[in-house]
Amino acid sequence: MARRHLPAGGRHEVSQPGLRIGFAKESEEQVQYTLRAERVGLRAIVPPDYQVLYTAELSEFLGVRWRHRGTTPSPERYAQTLWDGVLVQLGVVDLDKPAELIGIVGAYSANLRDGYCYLSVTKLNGTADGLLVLEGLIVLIDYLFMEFGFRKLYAESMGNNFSAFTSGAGKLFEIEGRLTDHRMMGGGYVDEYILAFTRSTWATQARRLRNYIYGGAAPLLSNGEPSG
Amino acid sequence: MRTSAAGSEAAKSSDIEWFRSLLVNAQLIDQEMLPAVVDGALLEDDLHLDSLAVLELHAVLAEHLDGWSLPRQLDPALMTVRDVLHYCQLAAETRAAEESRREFRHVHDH
Repeated sequence: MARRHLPAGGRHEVSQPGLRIGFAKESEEQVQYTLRAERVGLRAIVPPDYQVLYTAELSEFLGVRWRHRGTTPSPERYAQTLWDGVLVQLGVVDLDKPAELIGIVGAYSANLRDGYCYLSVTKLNGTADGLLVLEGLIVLIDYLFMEFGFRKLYAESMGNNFSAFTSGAGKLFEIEGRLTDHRMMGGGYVDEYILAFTRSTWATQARRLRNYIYGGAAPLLSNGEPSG
Repeated sequence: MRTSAAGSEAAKSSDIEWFRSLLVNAQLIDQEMLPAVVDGALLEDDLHLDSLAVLELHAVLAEHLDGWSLPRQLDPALMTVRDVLHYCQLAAETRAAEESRREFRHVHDH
């Protein structure tokens, strides 16, 4: 089935194969994407989204599992903390249903001197397409390696969340830490994993996944080694 | 590669071999687990794949099956190795049928 692409009018696009980076101009009529692949788009999160995000983050599905860990910040406080320490934070949408945010991906606590930052990812409700949100995370990882020059991206993941991508350990990322019985959840303690994605591993081991996500040849990503 | 004309037992054996190569390519299982896969033991155990593994399988199938893919709407949490094999079979059989039709048209047109 041919994929419907939104018109590119009103955007300046950097022409790299597969990865399109759009600099949005104001428009009410169409969704403007910051990053886009074959099935998934990442767009700016704007104040009209806050109510949806606030409700989702405090929902039964996400409330204790994600960043507020069961607390209920006021709407005003929420709007401030949404951007605390954030380097990049974008909403994930299905390109076939662009009106609905299905997830959030982000990078925070960036250390540009030492070349690392932390990743965040969540889908916003239990029925959202988790694979699409995962695709959104992969697009973000590409963006962080390509545009910011990071050498390592860390992710902190509680044991129950980690089970969604355990198969990538040792291939796409390394488990660099495991804090046992670290987080209180549901009447017991669960482990927390510290995962590390490195530029060199990503450039080689994620090739097939990236090709699939961009619907063809993925953007060229150097392994960080000096050329020549 | 299998065709729809193959006997059911031969097709099943070939399916398992082919699926084994998919798993190896995707690095979803260790070498030590291969005999169990070939024996079909894992298929009986309803081994579940995680979301990343399912996404990797989509990528493997897109690469190997030239446009055919697993249904995207399936919940990865409910997908087992047995399900994946089932869809691999469907995709391969459909492709084989299309190739047969193409060959027929080619012969007919000439």
